[in-house]
Amino acid sequence: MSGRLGVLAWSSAMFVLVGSQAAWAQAARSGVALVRTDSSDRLLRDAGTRLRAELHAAGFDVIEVDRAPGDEREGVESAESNGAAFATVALNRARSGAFADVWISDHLTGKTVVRRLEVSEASNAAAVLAIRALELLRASLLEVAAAPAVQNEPAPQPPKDVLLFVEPAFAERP
Amino acid sequence: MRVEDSAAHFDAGASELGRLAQRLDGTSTAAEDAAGRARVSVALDARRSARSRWLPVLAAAVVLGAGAAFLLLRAPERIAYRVSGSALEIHGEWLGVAADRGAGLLRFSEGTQIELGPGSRSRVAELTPHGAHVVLGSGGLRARVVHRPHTRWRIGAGPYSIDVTGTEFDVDWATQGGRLEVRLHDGSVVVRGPALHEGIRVAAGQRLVAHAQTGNAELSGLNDPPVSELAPAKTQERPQSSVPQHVAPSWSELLASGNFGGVLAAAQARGLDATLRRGSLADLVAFSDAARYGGDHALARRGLLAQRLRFAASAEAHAAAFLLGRMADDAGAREDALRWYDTYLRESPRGAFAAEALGRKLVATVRAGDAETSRAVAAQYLKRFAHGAHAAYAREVLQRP
Repeated sequence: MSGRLGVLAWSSAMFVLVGSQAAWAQAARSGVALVRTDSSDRLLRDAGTRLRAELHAAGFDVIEVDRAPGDEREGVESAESNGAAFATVALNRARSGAFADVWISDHLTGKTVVRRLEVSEASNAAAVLAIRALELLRASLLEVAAAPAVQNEPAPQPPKDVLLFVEPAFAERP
Repeated sequence: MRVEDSAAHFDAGASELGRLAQRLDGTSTAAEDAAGRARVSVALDARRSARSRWLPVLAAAVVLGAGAAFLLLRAPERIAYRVSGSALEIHGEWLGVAADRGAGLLRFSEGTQIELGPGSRSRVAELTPHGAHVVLGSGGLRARVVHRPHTRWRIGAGPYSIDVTGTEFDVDWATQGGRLEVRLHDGSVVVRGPALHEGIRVAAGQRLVAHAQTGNAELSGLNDPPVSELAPAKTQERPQSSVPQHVAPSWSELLASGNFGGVLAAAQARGLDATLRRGSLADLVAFSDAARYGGDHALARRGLLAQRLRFAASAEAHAAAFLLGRMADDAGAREDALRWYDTYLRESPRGAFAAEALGRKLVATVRAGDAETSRAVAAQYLKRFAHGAHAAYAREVLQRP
């Protein structure tokens, strides 16, 4: 009997804990805009699916947006996300099929970075591309996240979940 | 010598023998000689009569023997085939099947049938009296090879070849990624290819998944994949007009379609232990990714460790070291993270995640407050990846007092 009570108490505690964490997560999740990829390109399509999952797993909401008219830079910088995203990410196939360009527009600093990544013929090419795109997002945010610690001048204050994503230690700073 | 010549020779011999006997004892009279010759002649006539009765039989035997020799010695005919199916499109020697109009069918004269799956591309490279060599350019096929003496069929798929003597099986070949999957329903085949130079026998009820890029191959039970539980209606009934291997997507395909929950449900149906201990490398990778995407880091970690334990030499196992480091890093387990990053960089110094592993290692050492190590890692990073994503951060670390 006492065992059942223990299980009941533990379950209730977990329910409350999970519920409160979920509520916090719902409230705290920042958004990343993901530009829709060319659906005829299987690699980009699969990588887009995986990147969406990677971003979710990293704790972000994903807002899918259409590419804005213009060149690739305008396409990612002007993609409309109604201000709900702190960054916009786009995957493009480079002219050479062996490369993919990852565009990241960081709305916190207004910077846009592009990295050309080699795409292998391996079966895990889409997974690799998605992980590298997420790591690029993290690295590009590193500078702004680290800025308050190394400079005294005012700097943009990223949301706490973004700081947690970039470097947990930054989120612990007052 | 002809038969008639032989009989005349016997007559002359009998007369000569009679004269010789008469000279030897001188007792026989002319009448006795004549009677004797008559008896010999009768006997020879009887023999001639018997020989003449066998002549047609002998002639027939000669004709039959010659015919048999002709049949045996002449070159055997090659088998022939016909193609059917409204979805078939012929491009030179290649037979393409439209992706949305069912299967194509190759019917061979000795009874073998090969169904070409939707979206596939194949060609008949060679026909012999005992079989054929069919090349699967991409996509899937189902073969029902009729077993006969000396049957010899071969299915080629990229660098792989499948030798067949009589069986029923499915083949899927993906040129991108070089993934081969063979599922045996009856009989057995021998598959040769990268890292399978000696050939691996796949028997009824087994499935082989091989990767040309890595040389990895995994043999598992045909009924192990729980994808059948995900689509029971489709797997229980296989219409003749369609190619059945496409009804049950692999875990990798489920993952690519964004059905991460489907992969985890499939793993649960198969059994977690069975998945970790006997699942193919492709399944383990899909399972680990699905668990990671779903936020179940403990499950993902077990999948990644299983990859490293069971497929230690594979590129996937090396990548697992980076992913394990990343998960440890995000969970705040800095020492574990650094150990996994170092493992990855040692195993794959030029791997796909080398820049990311070194960049993350830099951030982790800075977080640890180890200034000396941080500067060393920052310098190492800039030396290798001067324009990498962490380059600005590395320069900033080097400028710190």
